[in-house]
Amino acid sequence: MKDRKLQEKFDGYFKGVNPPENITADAKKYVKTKKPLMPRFLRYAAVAASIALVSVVTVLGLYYNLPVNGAAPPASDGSDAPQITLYYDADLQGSQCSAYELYEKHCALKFLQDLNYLSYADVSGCTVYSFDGALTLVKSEVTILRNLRRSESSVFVEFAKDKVYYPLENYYSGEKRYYNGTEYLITQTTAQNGEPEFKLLLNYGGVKYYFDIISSDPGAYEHYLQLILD
Amino acid sequence: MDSNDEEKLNRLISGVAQGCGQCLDGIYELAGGRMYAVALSVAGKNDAEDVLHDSFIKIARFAKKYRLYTNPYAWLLKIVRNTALDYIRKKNARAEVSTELMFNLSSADYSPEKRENAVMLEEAVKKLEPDERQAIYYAYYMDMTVRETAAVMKCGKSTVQRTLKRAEEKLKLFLNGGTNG
Repeated sequence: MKDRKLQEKFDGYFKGVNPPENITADAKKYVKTKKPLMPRFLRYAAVAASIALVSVVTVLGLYYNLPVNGAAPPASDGSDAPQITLYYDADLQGSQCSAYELYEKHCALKFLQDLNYLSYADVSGCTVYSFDGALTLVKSEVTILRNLRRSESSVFVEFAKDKVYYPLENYYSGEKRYYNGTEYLITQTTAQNGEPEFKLLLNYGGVKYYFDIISSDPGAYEHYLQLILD
Repeated sequence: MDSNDEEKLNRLISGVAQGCGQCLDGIYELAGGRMYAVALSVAGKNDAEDVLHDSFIKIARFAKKYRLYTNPYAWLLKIVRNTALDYIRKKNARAEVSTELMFNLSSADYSPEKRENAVMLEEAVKKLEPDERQAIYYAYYMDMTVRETAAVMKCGKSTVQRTLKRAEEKLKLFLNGGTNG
């Protein structure tokens, strides 16, 4: 139980502080208005329509063997090697971006912005690249200190549908694995500092996520899969 | 701390969670001075404004996770303190918060008419032993409970209670002495 008179003294002490102005303006952009719910019958109708649409797309996908999710686009010649069109630095226009603004660029970047809010993670060096004016690639550096282990990662999120940034081509030769039924490709090597290095590629929701992770934690890459897929 | 203010803060945080951007201004009006004081005490004058700015972004994002009718001050101040600690750790991984800097507001952004009382309080706090000053900081600055303070100071609850009691007695003595003479 605190002393009431002292509490009053301290309250007076804090009330004398003149805080700076215009602090909340940016924060207001992050306040999300709740959308009013639809009437119940409309909600049921929307759910039924969604189920029907997913069923039709799945049947068509199976019939025409189209990729819905997965790591790499299949080659047209039927071989396992993916057919990749590359693009280069000269094709891109880049600009720096705050980690706190990533979600505004694309909803697929939410996991990076959320990471930056966590006390054990730091997201820095965010750069947004566009190709012919369209958002194509986002690069950032992530440091995670978790369970007494540190991991340093370069993260690329690619929005280009039919082409790949040239330094990321080697991610497609990784071993195919599955996380909760979603395919990803992983390559394990050894970094220059002797620590294990993982190159992870996940193609999910039409967006390609590349992670180059250096960490002594063998499960470091799974943390990213959880962030995106769970 | 005024219970009306706590009630208002509870309503404002709940408002932010439901999409009211203006409620952030209300929070700032009620608790801004205290939040700025915590930011100044941890991150220093150069970074305090940025810390406050980032703290409000966190408040906007995580307001829906606030448990209504717990302690709104403690929730807000913990966000500011953690944001400030992240700031100084980003600059220097080994940086530590100095208790010497915690009670030094009157030298900076302070209302001139209230400065005299503030200086008196700061002088009194400076006469305390370091562990007493820390206990006062966590209890009166950060609005932490004895259990939370014990966890941060890495000691038992009874130790915190004893230290806090001792510090309070000394402070009252110093402040009364200062007023009388």
